[in-house]
Amino acid sequence: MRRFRWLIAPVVVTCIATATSGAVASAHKGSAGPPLAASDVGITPTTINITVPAAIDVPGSAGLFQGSITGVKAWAQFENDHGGLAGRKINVTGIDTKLGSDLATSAFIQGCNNSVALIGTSVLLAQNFTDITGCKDHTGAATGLPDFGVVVTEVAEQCAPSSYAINPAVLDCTTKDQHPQTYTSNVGPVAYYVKKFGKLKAAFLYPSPAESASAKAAQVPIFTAEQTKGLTQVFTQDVSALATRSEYTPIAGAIASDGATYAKSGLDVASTVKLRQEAQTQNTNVKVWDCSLQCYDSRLIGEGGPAVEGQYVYAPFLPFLGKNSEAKQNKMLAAFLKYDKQPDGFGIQAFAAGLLFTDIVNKIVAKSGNNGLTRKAILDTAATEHAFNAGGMIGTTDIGNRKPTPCWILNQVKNGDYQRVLPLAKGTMNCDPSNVVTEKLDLIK
Amino acid sequence: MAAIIDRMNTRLSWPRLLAIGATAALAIFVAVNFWNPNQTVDSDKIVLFLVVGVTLSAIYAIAAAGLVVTYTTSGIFNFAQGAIGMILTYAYWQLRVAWGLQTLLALGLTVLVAAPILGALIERIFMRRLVRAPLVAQLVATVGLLAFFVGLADTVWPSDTYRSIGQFYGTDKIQIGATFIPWYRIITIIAGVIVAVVLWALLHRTRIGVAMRAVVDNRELAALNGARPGLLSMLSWALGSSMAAIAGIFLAMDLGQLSSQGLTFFIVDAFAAAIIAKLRSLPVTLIGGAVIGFSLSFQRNFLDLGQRWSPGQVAIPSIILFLALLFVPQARIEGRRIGRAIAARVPSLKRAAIGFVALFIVVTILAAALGRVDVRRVETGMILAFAMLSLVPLTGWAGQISFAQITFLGIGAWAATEFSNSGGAVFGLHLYPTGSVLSLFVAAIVVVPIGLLMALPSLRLQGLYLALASMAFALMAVPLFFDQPEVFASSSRYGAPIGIFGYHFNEPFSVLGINFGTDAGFLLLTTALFGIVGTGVVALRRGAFGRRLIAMRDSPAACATLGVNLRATKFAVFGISSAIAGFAGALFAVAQGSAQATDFLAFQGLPLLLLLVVGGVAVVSGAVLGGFLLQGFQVWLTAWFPGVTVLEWWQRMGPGLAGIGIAQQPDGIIPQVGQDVRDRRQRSQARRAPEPAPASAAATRPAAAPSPAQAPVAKPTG
Repeated sequence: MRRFRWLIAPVVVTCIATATSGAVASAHKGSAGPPLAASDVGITPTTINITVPAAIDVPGSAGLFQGSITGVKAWAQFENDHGGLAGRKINVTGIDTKLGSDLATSAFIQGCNNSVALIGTSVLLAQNFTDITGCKDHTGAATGLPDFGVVVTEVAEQCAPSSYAINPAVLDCTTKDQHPQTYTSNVGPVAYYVKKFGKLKAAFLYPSPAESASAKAAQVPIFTAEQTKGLTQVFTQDVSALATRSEYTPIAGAIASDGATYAKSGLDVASTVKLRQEAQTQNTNVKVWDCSLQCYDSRLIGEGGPAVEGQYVYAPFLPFLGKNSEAKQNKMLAAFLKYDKQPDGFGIQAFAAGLLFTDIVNKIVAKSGNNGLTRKAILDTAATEHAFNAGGMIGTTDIGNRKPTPCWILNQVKNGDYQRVLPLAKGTMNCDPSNVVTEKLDLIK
Repeated sequence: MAAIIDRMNTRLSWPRLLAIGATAALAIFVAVNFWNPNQTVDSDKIVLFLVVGVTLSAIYAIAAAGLVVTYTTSGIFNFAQGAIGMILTYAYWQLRVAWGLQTLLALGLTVLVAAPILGALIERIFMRRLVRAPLVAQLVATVGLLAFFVGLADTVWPSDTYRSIGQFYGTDKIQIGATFIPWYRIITIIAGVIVAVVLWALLHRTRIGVAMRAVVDNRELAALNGARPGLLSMLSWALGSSMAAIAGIFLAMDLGQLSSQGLTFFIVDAFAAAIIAKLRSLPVTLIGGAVIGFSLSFQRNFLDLGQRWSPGQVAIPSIILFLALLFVPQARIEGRRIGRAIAARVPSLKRAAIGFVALFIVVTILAAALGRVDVRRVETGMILAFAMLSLVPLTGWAGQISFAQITFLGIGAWAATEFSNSGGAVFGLHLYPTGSVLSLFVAAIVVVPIGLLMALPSLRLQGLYLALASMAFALMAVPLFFDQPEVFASSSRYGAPIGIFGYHFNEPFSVLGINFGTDAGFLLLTTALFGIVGTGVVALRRGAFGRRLIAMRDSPAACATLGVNLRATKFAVFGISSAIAGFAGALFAVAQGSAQATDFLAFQGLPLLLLLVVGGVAVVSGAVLGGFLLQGFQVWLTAWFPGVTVLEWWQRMGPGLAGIGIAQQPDGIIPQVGQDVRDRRQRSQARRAPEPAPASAAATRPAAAPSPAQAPVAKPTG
């Protein structure tokens, strides 16, 4: 035995160290309640897995929804730096679904198998959402995969029971099988334009339905609703994303010859730039060049230059680009800009979708503890989110009832920068209920 | 005078006059019916029409001129013309925008230095080996080059950054009437004219130009007269690349944002201008460009196509291409294709059946072992193989090159969703329950008439021109058929899961204690159906019909002399091919659960032929290899090894490189591997066998000769 005497000291030290660390660990766990468990698919004792399916590599629209992935990753980093959620770190997997349904379906299946939820979903041309709606939880029940989307263009996703988009679509899902259906549209600052410039003759430019039928379908109710606020349509045109600038010459010519004084672009940024450049060349008489949140993008100013001066852009989130960023007025916006190095309109909504998830998880933890976090609990809680605004960063939205926000901020391109036009006070939004128009249209055949 | 009238009579036969009359009547019908009632025709409108028309004409003419120059001087139709222009436009962006060089310097370096070097390298490394290759190998090699350049551009200049080369003279413009024209468009128009004049003078008024054309007409004879064919061919590719660069740069100014695919495929619209010029006349190429440019301008300025036909505006260049192919005189069409036909060994039915059983066993193991996502990936590979199988009899054996299979897939997918959901409702009768497996077969039958319609141009067109006609057909099909409200209506159609005797093939099941998960059943069904149809295709090849196809491919004239009904044979092979493609489309729709028009765009069909030829266009196993190669490149590489940069490069550029590799081995991988194995076995046997006596060696010699099915054929591919 004497020859093993030398082992006594290390063994004693090891035992003391083990006992001490065990005591410390149990004290730490004890402070957070019972040990963390794998409470559902995508939740381990240490991590919460999130999937972001987004179309990135898209012909003609390079890096289309890259912002959605970077936005969710920025949110995850923000939360992890502040201790994580429900005692766990967030792990984000971004999947490029490109154009088409096959990769999107694979992404949904992967999300169902590995993640507790989809956040920032931004897919195009996906058709089959049964892997979201029929996704099974750890008990084998088909609770559905929680889906907090950013770009939700297909009716099947908009109205899926487990989908709660951060920027809900205009269709009232309870009427989707009726003819006509009911649409609730935020018409933005049309009333302001009419008040300022008088009656306006409108030209509406839609994306080509041959390239994305759902993208056009999402805009028809809004453009129709705007005509109830004092606009008279004189010209409308579907335009391909691959149209050359020469192809905009007759469009600009028609806008001029038809006497349009208001032109709204439902096109992407690159196409809007071509439209404005050609309109500048052809000397149209348009007083209001209007565009929604897709135009709140640094590329509009960078590529359009002087041609896009005066462009109005309304969006349901606080300004964050250029010198007029309102990060000082809103700490969540400051966090977004700190963690997202390539901020854009999709990114801020994806970050907000992440904050929505945070809000839901915190409510569940408060009610049921860290191990109460399940897909079912997430979906049940999401349905009760009726006034979410991501700490004032986005317009207050009834997520649970899938109703679009009535809020907006009007920006205008002046001297190569976006400047707030309405409301003027920083950190505020116009949320007048009259911004929303309800109408009946038969757009689903 | 009599001679001229006689010549005119020869050129304008009654059928052609009738066809021209019908086309003119159709054009008038469209103009009258879709005339925009709100449109006034005044001088301002006419100026606008002319300005837009001339600008578009110039871009199309420059792009087509490059094609014509390359074809006239090398005999190879370069599908990669747009991709070469695209990659050089990115090079111009790098010089001008990223590195800040002066415009003229960057332009000179791109058009006069980089473009000729690139063109010469392409000719020296790839195209020189293709001069005597079968036409399908030539086309596939240039399609491979296209895919490679698109992949290269996406790797070097990732698509997540917005790039633009701006415009010459920025916003400066001149006024004509009420229309303003920016200076860059004036420069585009002037460049178009200068390019055409300089090229024409070079090819017709200089010794080097005459020599370049002589090399194409008869390479050996030109060499005997002192010309240097290799050098001249290289020069012509250098010239063609410079034309591509000019077209790409002017196009990029008009497109705004640089896009690898946008720039590449825009040039396809210029094919019609080159065809109108019969791929040889530069002045007529200008006219061809004007036909496209002014047609587009007319539509944009004066017509209102309405909700139903508004997607049809993008089909205008392909409609012109299709019509041009039908009306261009036949003389030039197959004038120079003396290439070695692809000859492949035909397996016995027993051997084929063993192969399919082995495939089924492998797939069954995969279906049981893999997770659902991977099972779906294997399933997609199998469906792609099915689609490629449709090309084996058509292209591999009959020599009819088709880019329209993707359209047949789409029609099959539509028919499957339609007849699956409705329970085969025809004239009020329900032929089978909703979701019946019979809907797959109905879908295949529905596609056959469309296949026969595609066979009509094949009665008149062959080789390259038939390939282009099929591409035009596929391009037209999306806006004029798939986007119609009765078909996909610019949206998706959902199909019920199919089943038999109450079992749905996407449901999990167990056999012999082995559990198969969701979707595994459908994968096994697809594989079994592939085996059955594949065996049928092999049987077809071994029978009289198969021999007729080979004979028709090798020598249509000899076939006709021997009394073979070429017309009936072509209709039959197109019908069979379209039915198989329709069946594959139906499987696709069921596997996806839905289908929509964007799943069946013409350019998505290019990889089908590309990787089938890589696998082996004349063998059924080539379709299996091609299908899995395509799926491997598109999905598996990066899905199974995420984050490996080299694999991401390989994913983008691999299919293109594989296609380019066809220049080395036009028969494809499977036939070549098979041949290598046989050669090795023969050598091994020869080493083992005792050295025969001279008399017995002579006696065995005839038995060693290849069978007719194995023998390489040295005839045109037809």
